[in-house]
Amino acid sequence: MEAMSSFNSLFNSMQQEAKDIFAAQGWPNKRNEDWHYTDLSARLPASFQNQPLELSEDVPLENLTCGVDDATQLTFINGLLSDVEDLPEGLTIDALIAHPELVKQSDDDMTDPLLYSNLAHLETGIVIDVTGVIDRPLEIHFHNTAAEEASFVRIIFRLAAGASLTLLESHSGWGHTQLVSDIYQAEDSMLRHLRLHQAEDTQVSLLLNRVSLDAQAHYHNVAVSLSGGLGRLETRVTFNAPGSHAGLATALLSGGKQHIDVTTRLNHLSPDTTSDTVARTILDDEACGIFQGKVIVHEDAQRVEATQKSDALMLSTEAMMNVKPELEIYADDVACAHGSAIGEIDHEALFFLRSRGIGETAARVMLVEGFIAEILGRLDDFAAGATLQENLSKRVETYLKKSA
Amino acid sequence: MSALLEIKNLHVSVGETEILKGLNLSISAGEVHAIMGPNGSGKSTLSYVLAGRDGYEITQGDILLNGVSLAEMNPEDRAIAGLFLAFQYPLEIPGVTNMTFLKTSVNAVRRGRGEDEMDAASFLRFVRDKAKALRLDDDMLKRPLNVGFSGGEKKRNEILQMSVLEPTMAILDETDSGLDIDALKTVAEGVSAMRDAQRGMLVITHYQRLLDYIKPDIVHILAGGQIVKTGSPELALELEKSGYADYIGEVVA
Ligand SMILES: Nc1ncnc2c1ncn2[C@@H]1O[C@H](COP(=O)(O)OP(=O)(O)OP(=O)(O)O)[C@@H](O)[C@H]1O
Ligand SMILES: [Mg+2]
Repeated sequence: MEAMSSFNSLFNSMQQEAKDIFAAQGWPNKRNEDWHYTDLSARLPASFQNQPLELSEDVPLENLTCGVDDATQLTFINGLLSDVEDLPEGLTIDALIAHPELVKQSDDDMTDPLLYSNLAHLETGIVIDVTGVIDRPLEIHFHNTAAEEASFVRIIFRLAAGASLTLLESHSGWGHTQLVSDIYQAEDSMLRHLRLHQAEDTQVSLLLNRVSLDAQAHYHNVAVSLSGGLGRLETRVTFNAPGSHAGLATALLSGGKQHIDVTTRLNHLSPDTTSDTVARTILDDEACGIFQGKVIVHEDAQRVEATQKSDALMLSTEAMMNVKPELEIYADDVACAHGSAIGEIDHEALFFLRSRGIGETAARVMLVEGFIAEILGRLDDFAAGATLQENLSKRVETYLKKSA
Repeated sequence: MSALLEIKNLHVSVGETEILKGLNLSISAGEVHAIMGPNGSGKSTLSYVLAGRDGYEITQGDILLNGVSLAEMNPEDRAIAGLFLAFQYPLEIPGVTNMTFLKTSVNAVRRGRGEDEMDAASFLRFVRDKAKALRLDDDMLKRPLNVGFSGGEKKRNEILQMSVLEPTMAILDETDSGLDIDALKTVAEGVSAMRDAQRGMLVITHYQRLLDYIKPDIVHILAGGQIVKTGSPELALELEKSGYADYIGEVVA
């Protein structure tokens, strides 16, 4: 009882601090270098009034989740955890409020706009512990029911030594979503993480992923965005011990006036660590895409291998792509590479396909699908990987045919 | 009987440059014609304009397939109408497997011709048989289209596409270039197997070797954007000895 109230006062004082900073600084904006391309001050209201949860009608979510039947489902509606299925053995969920030390650890940098604005408005915080090898994927779905609704959620994942999980994270609906996921992976643990972003074209989504890897821990992220609106998909990984590896693969399809920002920051603290980042961005209409990829290799981190590649396919002359690679390398025995390319549909390839009877629209769709096939291919090793690939291919196809 | 493919006084420009300058050619069903000619004479240009590639402008003349003009038809409709071009330089398409491509192509053409689409299982059987005859193994069907294929594999893959699409008029643009002796034989057998009374073929080549296997009915020489000589298969043998010197002169003059 006493512990709880002291926690509450700790939490309250931290949240008050976050609110004060938010009141002074507001949403992430251009004053911060990391937000040069994505200024939210004009996109979000000055504040959100958190609504109490009211679900009068069933929200049909079938087409919005990742569509894996045997996944364990957790559903957040407007930022509140509305539905928890039976959890498999080796997986437990607890309220963040019971773990004061984790909040302090999580909010280590109050100057970070994603952290203070999340904490200032926080509605739900949970801690997910994974202690074994979990075969069933865990899906966490986030849905906002209306434009004036917002979700502010913090999730802390802790994977014990040797634990493994396939995590499916999906986002849909309207309004504003702000998720901070902190992932702590002990040695030899494996997390496969699919992030499916398919919100309506008015949604603003700020999704931050912070991953901390111990020895031999592997983190594989595949992010697919088929959204309208504004999205920032940010991933930060810290490599604490040898043998840790992160693979980040992103496929973005944007059209209309969408603004989609992929930001990665890979912090190689330890020697003998590896990372591999690949982003494929497809921009149509007046969409704006951003890839900011930073790799930091610390002085003692010898024999690090880090590759980073960003390719964009422009389907319209009014679309815009910004690429900002940053390599900060302080060790001498490393292999780091960055490559980026911005191109258009290959007209010779298009003619080749058409000369085989494939209509122009179908041929274009085929080339665009081919452009991101490598990203979806990385789902091979995920639990239910074949189903995920099939579902995502279908959605990509539907998306492309609709916009063709 | 009217010709299967009738090319009449065809003038084609790419940008400002006229490349085909009044080309006439007529191929009847069941016939195999060969076109030989020096580099840059317009052979690939002819094949592209037949297939409907953008940027090749017909300024005069016409192309008729079964009496229907192709001039205003888009590439996919020409394929449906029965035209097929085996490319001199087949394209690589990352991320699209050969199998997916073949299936999409065959079903698009079948739909266009008012035939039923093939289901996955029967298509697999159908393609495997054809691929085997061309010594293309299953692995080549699973890989992305032409990506990392050797020159010879790409050419055999072109013939595979021809054999699954069953065109009425096939144009082969230097399908023999880059093939080793065995592959040349395999390809020639694949092509010969498709020779029948309903089908016309136009074989573009620089070498007699291919024509030894695919015995053409008629041989043409294309130089300077025109057919400058038409004759029997012996014409090809003659060229092998004396080159194009005699014919190039005629056009320049
Ligand atoms: N896109 C183009 N723009 C300008 N000139 C072109 C273009 N395509 C072809 N040409 C020119 O047209 C002429 C004919 O080219 P084409 O490729 O048809 O020759 P070819 O007979 O197939 O030669 P080869 O035996 O080397 O394959 C050449 O002089 C070539 O440079
Ligand atoms: Mg040529």
